[in-house]
Amino acid sequence: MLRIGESPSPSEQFSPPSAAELAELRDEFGKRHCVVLPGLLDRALADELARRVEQSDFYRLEHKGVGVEACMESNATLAWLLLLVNDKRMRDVVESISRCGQIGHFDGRVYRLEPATEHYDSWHSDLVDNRLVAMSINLGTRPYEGGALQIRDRRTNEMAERRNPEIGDALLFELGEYLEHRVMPVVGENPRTVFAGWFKGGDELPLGTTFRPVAPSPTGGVDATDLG
Amino acid sequence: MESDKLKPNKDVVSRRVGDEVILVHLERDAMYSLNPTGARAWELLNEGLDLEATEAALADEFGVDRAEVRSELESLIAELEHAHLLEKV
Repeated sequence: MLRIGESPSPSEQFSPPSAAELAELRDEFGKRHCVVLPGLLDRALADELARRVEQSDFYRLEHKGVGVEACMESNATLAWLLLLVNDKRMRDVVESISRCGQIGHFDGRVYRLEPATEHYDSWHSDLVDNRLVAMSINLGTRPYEGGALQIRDRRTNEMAERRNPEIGDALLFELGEYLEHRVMPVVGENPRTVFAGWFKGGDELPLGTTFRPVAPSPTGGVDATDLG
Repeated sequence: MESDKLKPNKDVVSRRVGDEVILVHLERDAMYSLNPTGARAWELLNEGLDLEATEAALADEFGVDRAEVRSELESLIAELEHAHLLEKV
């Protein structure tokens, strides 16, 4: 089972899918442009991340003509999330599932869609900035209602709909010239809180330009960046 | 050189990314990068090696004189302790 955990030991940080699981994920992704990765984040790790997200500050973010959301401020929790999914082993698995070509790095944000607010999302492609594949991981401490991801082929109008209902569950979905996706409105009482972003081509930039620390020193020293 | 064992601060998470190791101090909201030699030293200390064993392993792996490694390692550890990334067991 594909799983990311937290451990000082590299071998315990990542559990790859079996060959059969990988083949199944690849088949599903090829047919539906989207797969659910249940429990991608180990439950204890996801709980800890969600607890930290809950304590973080959010600001209103508008994507002109596409949607409005509450976006988490850059902080150490975001840096931790970026570290987790930028694991080379994770990128290799995503390359294998999606056949997207070589991934350089993952860049993303934590955002929240609240029910009964101005928050919304509409059809869009995300096909800019060398983005290859998108991923969204549920970090909500309470189950959300509604908020399904829909993905459609504009040529045929064929559409798939998927949810990542449990904390730590991920949705991996394809970006393409003829593909669009959107998140349906969240209903009920609880928000939909996710860590979402894109596996991109190009350089291996571990934390994206926003979070890139100063260049490493030549001799083994420590370089620091204040994330606050 | 001290022979004490060191361990990462419990509020620090780390991952190897390429030939660097990135450290995030969750409580201090700060991020650090270690270059290849620093990254390897971090990993060896994480595995529970004491300073002397870490020094020997680095000298062997990087083909560098032990005295040079010792000096580099001492200053690295001082920096890591100063930043509350490492602490004595």
